[in-house]
Amino acid sequence: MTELLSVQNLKTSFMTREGEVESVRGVSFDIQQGEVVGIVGESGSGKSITAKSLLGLIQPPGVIKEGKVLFHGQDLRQMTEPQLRAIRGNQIAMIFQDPMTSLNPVIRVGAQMIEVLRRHQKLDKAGARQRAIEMLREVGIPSPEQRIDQYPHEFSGGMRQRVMIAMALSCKPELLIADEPTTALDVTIQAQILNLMKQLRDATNTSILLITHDLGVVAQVCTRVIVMYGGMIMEEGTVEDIFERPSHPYTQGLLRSIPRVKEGQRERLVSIEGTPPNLLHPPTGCPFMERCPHAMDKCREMPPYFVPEEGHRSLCWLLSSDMQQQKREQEGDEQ
Amino acid sequence: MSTKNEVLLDVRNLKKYFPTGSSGFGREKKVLKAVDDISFHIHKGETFGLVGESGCGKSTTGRSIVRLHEVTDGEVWFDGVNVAQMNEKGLKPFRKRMQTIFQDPYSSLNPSMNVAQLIREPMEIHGFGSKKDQHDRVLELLEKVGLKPEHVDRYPHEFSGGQRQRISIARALSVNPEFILCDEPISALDVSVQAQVVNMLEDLQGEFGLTYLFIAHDLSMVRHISNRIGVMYLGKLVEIAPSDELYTHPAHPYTQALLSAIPIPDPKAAALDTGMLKGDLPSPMAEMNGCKFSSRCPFATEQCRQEQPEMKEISPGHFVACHL
Amino acid sequence: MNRMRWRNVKTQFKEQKMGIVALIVLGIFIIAAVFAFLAPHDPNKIVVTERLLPPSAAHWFGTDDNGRDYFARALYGGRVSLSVGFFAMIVAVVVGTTVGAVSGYFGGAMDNILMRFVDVLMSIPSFFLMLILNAYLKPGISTIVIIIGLLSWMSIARIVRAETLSVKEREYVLYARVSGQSNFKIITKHIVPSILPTIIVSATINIASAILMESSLSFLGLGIQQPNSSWGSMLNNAQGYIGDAPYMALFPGIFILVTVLSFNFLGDVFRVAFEPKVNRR
Repeated sequence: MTELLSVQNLKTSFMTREGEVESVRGVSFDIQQGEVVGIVGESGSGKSITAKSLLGLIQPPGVIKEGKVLFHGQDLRQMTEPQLRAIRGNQIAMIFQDPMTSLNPVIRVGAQMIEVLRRHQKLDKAGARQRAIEMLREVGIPSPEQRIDQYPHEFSGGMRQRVMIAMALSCKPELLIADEPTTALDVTIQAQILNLMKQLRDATNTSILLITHDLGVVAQVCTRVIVMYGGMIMEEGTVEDIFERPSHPYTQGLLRSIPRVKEGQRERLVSIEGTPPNLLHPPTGCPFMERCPHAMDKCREMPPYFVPEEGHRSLCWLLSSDMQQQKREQEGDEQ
Repeated sequence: MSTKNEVLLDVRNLKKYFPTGSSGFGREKKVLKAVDDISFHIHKGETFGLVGESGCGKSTTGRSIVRLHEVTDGEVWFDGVNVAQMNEKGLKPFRKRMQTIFQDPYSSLNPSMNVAQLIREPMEIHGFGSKKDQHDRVLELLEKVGLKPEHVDRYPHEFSGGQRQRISIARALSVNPEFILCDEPISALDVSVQAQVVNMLEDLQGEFGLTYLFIAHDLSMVRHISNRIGVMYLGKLVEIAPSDELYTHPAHPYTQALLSAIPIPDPKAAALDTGMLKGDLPSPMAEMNGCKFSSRCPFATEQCRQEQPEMKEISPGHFVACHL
Repeated sequence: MNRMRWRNVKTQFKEQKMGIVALIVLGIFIIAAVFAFLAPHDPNKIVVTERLLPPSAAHWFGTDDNGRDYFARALYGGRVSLSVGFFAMIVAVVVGTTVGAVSGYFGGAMDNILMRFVDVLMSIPSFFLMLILNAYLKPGISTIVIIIGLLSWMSIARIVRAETLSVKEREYVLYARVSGQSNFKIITKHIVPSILPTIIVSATINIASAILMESSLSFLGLGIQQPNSSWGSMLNNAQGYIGDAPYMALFPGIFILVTVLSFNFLGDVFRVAFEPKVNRR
């Protein structure tokens, strides 16, 4: 497997009246070819800002302050706007949360798709139309020959998101960034879209970066998970690592606050008390400290990433060798 | 589970149609049948969950019950009185007993009022004690919902979504209601905050013996909080059952599809099963003779397309509207 | 209105220098109008020997065709122009907000009737209506205020109605309804405060147009009657002497221009401050 995208120490801030809001505070991760990576986090965790920063879609007052975004080893941040435009939509495609506003309401769906195809693929009009119809069929839109000449308002929310996916995939991108693609949809439609994304990934080997707040969605489609909180990556690992052996107290809390469906029993939900940190004046130590049940003095200092196992890292002092030693001793005492 | 038999709210054949403008001269007016002939009841101290996808009429049902909408037809019996056709004057005492918590914590609080004014509003409407009593009550309620007394003169924009929802809850509780309509109260909140709010609602129910109508599209949360659940599809109730029964033995094909579509936060769980449900919701404007779900149902027969199914009790307390 | 919005107004004033200039100019005019009685000359005292004197140390703005001190007349004229503008605005805002809020909040037949009435009023050229009304009513400042006020509320009503339509769907209004709040209280407590920014913006612009209307009426000799003056009537008076004493037209003309411009700038600053999405960088 080769590294498709490598993000290094990305920092994005918003310059507001009150001061600098540090939305993304030094985020680094890699995406390999054919991988589905999920970024989960609550609102304000910086997950969407991270995704937008990758393609330089941050609008003022937002600024990308630091970091590299290496795509095939080339830094996207050093590129000029025309160079970026050639990559956007062609090699890296993006779909957004709201399928209602992502399409221009006064232009026929087909025309919008054809425009994208012709811009990036040098197809003639008839060829582009043919390709657009094929794409619509591929994403499961019935009778695409007729639907292609309809306007966006004649499509339902789920159908529009399918159109968006068709558009995003029409140029055979190597990376698809999906920012909360199913949040605005109903569960039954969400299931259809997620299945569609999985099928397409299998068929085209496109890497997917999926941004979501729904842990269920992540568990169903992703191979690797990044958990963000307070503008930082709290924990990263394979889905099995994260869901079966979560090592960070935040991830653990998040998993516990979902109602579990257990036969006949109703247990009280475990909630994480408190509210996320204010990124206007971010804490210098661990961002989760204030809400963490295991907080200790050491947490005032920013922890480094600890690696409990291969490919699994966690930003928490509890995993330092000292703490692990203590824990083992305690367990020894109890036995 | 609640086995109290006293019925607090009894909805009978509730209908709510919205006119959507005529489609041209001389033609009859088109109507949107948002809620089309539904009946259910809620016992005292119980939580009744109402689930369904967007546009199924669950919110309209709730809003018709608290009479935010005029009711087109049907009866809403609240503690033995039919409030469905009552005028505003007659409704006033019931407005005190039925309170509402809305979905969007950003729009449900007037941004120009501070916390004290917000929580006092219903008390002022219903002439609840003196100014001093009201203020004491505000402080008491703030504590109850986990906010601090110094929050009393802050404005909504100074709070997070979860805290705002706590203010809404305090406001609803201020006049000692018996029934609270929870109109998607947690949908706009983050997962960890949802749990806080749900726990609080459960605690308050235990303390004050409240009755909830809990409307949501998040099925796992609804299962957690509800005693009984009604599933709605295109303005119709298709299934009513005790919540565990509904999840373990869903009888209606739509309920089955809905449940199988919930993404389970466990990578080992079986992959999403969408084989059952193809296509989108049909337009609610379309006239359908038979079962509303027949256009998407994998088991639909000719009978389904012709005849509307009646609610049948298939096991104690478990009702299904399906021919099969 | 909450504090956050006022803070926006403050910062917006800091950013837009024209706003501050407008505020200072209007402040000076208002103070001058209030303290007009401190003027060194009586505005109505006719001194036949001092006709049409150009500006000098004794008469800062010169004298008019009747030998009256033009500076004093300009001060008293400003008093009339500004107060006509202000009170006409009050009339227009009160009527416009009431009609707009009632129309938007209740909807249905009420909305239909009120809005068609507004349409009818708006399709009559208001200036002619004003001329006709003015001919039948007793001339005077209060008549002018009422005429201008009653003919300029329609656009405010339309804006207020549109805003009310969106505000009444907000959940805090729905909440007030389901908790039994009376319609009157809902409008006064929830709806009007929520759309106050819009009302303030249209009110500011409305003052400017009211001052212009008064000036036009008076210019045509139909507004303020002698011996009282307003900037408009002074302009009317200056017509005959435009060759001999051009300053007679210049002073009131500049005052009208600067005042109207200042109110428009002010309206713009408010608009930007209340809509944080517009022009924010």
